[in-house]
Amino acid sequence: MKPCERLWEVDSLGVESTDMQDEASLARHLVTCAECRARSADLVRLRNLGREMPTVAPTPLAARRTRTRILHLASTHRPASGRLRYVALAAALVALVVGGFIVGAPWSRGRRTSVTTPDSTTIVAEQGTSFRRVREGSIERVYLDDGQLSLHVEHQSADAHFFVEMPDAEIEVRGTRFEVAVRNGKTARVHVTEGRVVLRRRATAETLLHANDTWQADEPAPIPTVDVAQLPSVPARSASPIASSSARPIRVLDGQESAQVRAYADAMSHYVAGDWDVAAQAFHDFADTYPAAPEAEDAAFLEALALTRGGRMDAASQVAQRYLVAHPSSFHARDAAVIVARAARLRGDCPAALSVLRPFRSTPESADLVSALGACRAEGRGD
Amino acid sequence: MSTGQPSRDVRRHTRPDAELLAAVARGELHALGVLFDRYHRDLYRFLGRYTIGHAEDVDDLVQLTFLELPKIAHAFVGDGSCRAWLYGIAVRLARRRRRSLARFGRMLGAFALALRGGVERDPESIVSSREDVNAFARALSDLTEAKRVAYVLTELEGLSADEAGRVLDVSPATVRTRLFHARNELRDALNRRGAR
Repeated sequence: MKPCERLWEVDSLGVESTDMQDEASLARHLVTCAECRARSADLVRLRNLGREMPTVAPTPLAARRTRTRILHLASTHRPASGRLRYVALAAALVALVVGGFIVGAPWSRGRRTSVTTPDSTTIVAEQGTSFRRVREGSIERVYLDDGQLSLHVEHQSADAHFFVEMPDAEIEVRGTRFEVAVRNGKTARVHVTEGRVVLRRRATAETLLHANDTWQADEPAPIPTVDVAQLPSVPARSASPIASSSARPIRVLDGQESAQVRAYADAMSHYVAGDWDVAAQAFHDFADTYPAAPEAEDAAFLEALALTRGGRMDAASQVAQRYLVAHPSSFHARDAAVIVARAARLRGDCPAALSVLRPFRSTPESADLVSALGACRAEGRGD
Repeated sequence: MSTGQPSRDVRRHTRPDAELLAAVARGELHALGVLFDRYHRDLYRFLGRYTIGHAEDVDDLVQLTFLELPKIAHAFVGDGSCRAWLYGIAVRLARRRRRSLARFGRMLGAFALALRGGVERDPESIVSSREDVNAFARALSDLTEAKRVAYVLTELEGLSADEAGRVLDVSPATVRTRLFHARNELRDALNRRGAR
């Protein structure tokens, strides 16, 4: 039997834009066409099965950590102005390689190469180095992608320029002997034999190197990992599916990049170690010192949490109350309200406990709110 | 809780996506945080369905997606939601990662473990619905990547063929064709397994 001519409409429903008239027409057709009706039911069945698949959903705390991690990583890798910051290196001298030079093609890997230009500038590339030279009029650029070069650049005339371009920095040379190495897309080492160079890398202060000076990138420090399961949990909330999210280790950064990163990492280390008073003070100091940091909001809440863990309910309540005033609609607002409510209940102030939790109450009542309100819930039933 | 003027927190969450992405392009990371708050749940859900993935892999892909934004935020065009655009970034990143066969095998193998820890319901419905859902998920994982992503984007995430085409950088007709075949294969697979 020939298939119904309107089966394609059933297939298109929900995937294509249709107007109400077409939908109404199809709805009437479905009443009379068993084939289209079966197809529609089949598609709905498949769709419902798909939507019933367990979804990956992090716990709120895991999501918060992921958010913080993203902002950390984004802040340490971004160029401040979205462009590479060049800092032409002052301190030095010299003029440049003359015209007629080889440009363009990268050196193939696996060869050690020495090049001497007519004006006696010498470039020696270590085995496996990837670089190329481009000359534009009186400007010579050596692009170093990976590996190591040793350069002896003769003194440049006033109108000539010699640059070495790395993925994350630039050196302008006026006449000196130096070596530069790039590993994994980052400048790894600069050593000056004669003369002076100023090295400026993206988002850092410049470094002036004299003869016999060496600048070397720090080795990345080992990053201690902490099992999330060992951390005290945030005031209870309904768990989301997929247990593996909550068991995923987190990284407490042992930062080398900045005092801000270190300060937050130190505070978190104390928290993880259960030094509640020290952690609370450290989070407080962090939020005070770096109010514009992406983690400042987290730090303000974690101060309250650390005080709670340390049994200082009144202090925790005050901090949580300040947090709620500053961030009334934030990610941790509900948890902060729970801290305030619990402290109010313990002092016998049920109206205050009920008031602070009113925006978060629902039916059925969630376990953490039930716990926070305790006997005050009976008073609240009149609200 | 607060009265009078909207708080800074409320105001920042009503900014349009295009404005937030422009801010991210300027290096304002606070806007990146707002976008994360707004879309991370959608991304986790979509990637979980699309990759049928281990939660850690999905977590990595979500992070990578948001970390891409400072580089490409300037490329967003439009006034509405950037959800579909984020899905496109996530798909490209997932495809890059999937080139590791070992990881892909782990993803498929881990699905059974993930299902055993799934949503809690009453015991009777868990038994019957999980069989259906289990069978469906296996059938979905058996689809080619191109058909699976077309199915997930349109049928499960609710995108139109036009929107899905932009996400996948293919024509809407290609999306419809892949969807048609995906549905047929899913239906046939479930019928073979006798799933209700």
